[in-house]
Amino acid sequence: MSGDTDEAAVTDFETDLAALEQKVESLQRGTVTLDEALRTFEEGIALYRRCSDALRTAEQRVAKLVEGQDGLEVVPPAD
Amino acid sequence: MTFRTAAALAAEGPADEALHVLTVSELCERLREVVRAQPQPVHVGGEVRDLARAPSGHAYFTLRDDGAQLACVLFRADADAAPGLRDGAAVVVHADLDFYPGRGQPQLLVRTVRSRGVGDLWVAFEAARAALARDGLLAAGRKRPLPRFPRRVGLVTSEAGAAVHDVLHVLRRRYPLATVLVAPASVQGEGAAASVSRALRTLDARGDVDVILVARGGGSAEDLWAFNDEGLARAIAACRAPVVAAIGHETDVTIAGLVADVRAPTPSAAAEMAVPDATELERFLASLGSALLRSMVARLRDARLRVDALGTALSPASLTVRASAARHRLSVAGAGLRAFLPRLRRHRQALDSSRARLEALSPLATLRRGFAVAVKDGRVLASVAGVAAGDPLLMLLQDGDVECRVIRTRRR
Repeated sequence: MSGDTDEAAVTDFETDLAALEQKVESLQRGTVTLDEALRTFEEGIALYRRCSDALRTAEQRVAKLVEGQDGLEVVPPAD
Repeated sequence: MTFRTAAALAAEGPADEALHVLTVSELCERLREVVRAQPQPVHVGGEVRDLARAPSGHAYFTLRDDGAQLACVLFRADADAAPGLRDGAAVVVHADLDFYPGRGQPQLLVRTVRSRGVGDLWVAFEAARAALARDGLLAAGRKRPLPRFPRRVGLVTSEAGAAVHDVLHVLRRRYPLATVLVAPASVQGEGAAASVSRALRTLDARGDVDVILVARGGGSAEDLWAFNDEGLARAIAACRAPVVAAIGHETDVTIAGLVADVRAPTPSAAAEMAVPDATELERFLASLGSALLRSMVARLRDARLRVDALGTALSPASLTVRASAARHRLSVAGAGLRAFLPRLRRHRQALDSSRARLEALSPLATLRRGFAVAVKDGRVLASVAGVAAGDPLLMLLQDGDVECRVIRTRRR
């Protein structure tokens, strides 16, 4: 349970990165209107910031599986 | 004995001159051929006796069991393949059967020597491998690709060994975004295979683990034996998540390594294969960022150029140019019109004279002179015939008409 808190952030990293790649591609194709291009650019920059922050600030979560009374439980390691 | 038999045979009569007497060498050569024709190579188990290492580097020994013995030679070139060779050791040798004429006895040309326990294990290894291969579990086509960005990394290993620290260290350094789930297992000795299998199943059953590492540091063949267990191999094959196996060192071949989707040479290498490198990712991200910026700048420059082009088109200078062009077209058209005027005048004159002639002939001109025209039933009246008293007539005059009724008619 405590080890699960970062999952959302990690999920977002993968989807954010894929979205960012898509935005770059669509901007490079240059088929959208200038307004759309500006919007795409702004969204792209936001995605870039998020990905970059995620990479820089991530701290690894390590959890351990142990057999408890109600089956398996996830607990942080002793050390 | 042999001599006496030959002598006895020679004494038997006239056939003896035709009798071919073999030399010992010839017979030994035949024996050698017979022996070499046996299925080769052979695996022979026994106890090592009378081990002697010659200065040449070759080793000579006797392999024996309770009822028999065989001479063995291990050539210098193969000496490395026999680390467990010592007097009294129970071994399994992997050898070619030969016959040594110099001693008149068969002998084993030994290629490898395994201690008896390992020898048995080796046979079991081959059996497990054959069973898995039969079921298609070793097929290259079964190997699944590893996820590019695993959210959760499962780790099956002993909590006691160095492997767990190596793997966690590499994972933390390379890709701290992933959560690591450690499923501790016993990786050596009795019950190890079952323990590792259970840990694998536990991790995989969660359904949220994207890749599973099975790691164990280096050790002897016996130490690593649990990873040749067929049941464990099947547990690996059954995992929904792809499995990276790092068992022992690169040279250690285990069944687990063969079945896993990826076989890593060491636990650290397994960790490196399982996750991307955040430093590389940052570089990639930076390249995406600058591509984004470049495209936008290019896009804006493009838009600016188009706006500039429109501004030029709408400037006063441009309008002057367009106005003078319009004036020019107008003056050209005017000249054409002017050239047409004389013709127009001629046509007008012709039209006027035609009208004068037409008017001279028209009854209107007659009316203008004071005459009237009588009309009956829409026809101009030219005779008294057909006109009776009381008929209505219409009299057309210069400036209008008069409706009247006939009083009487008179023929002239």
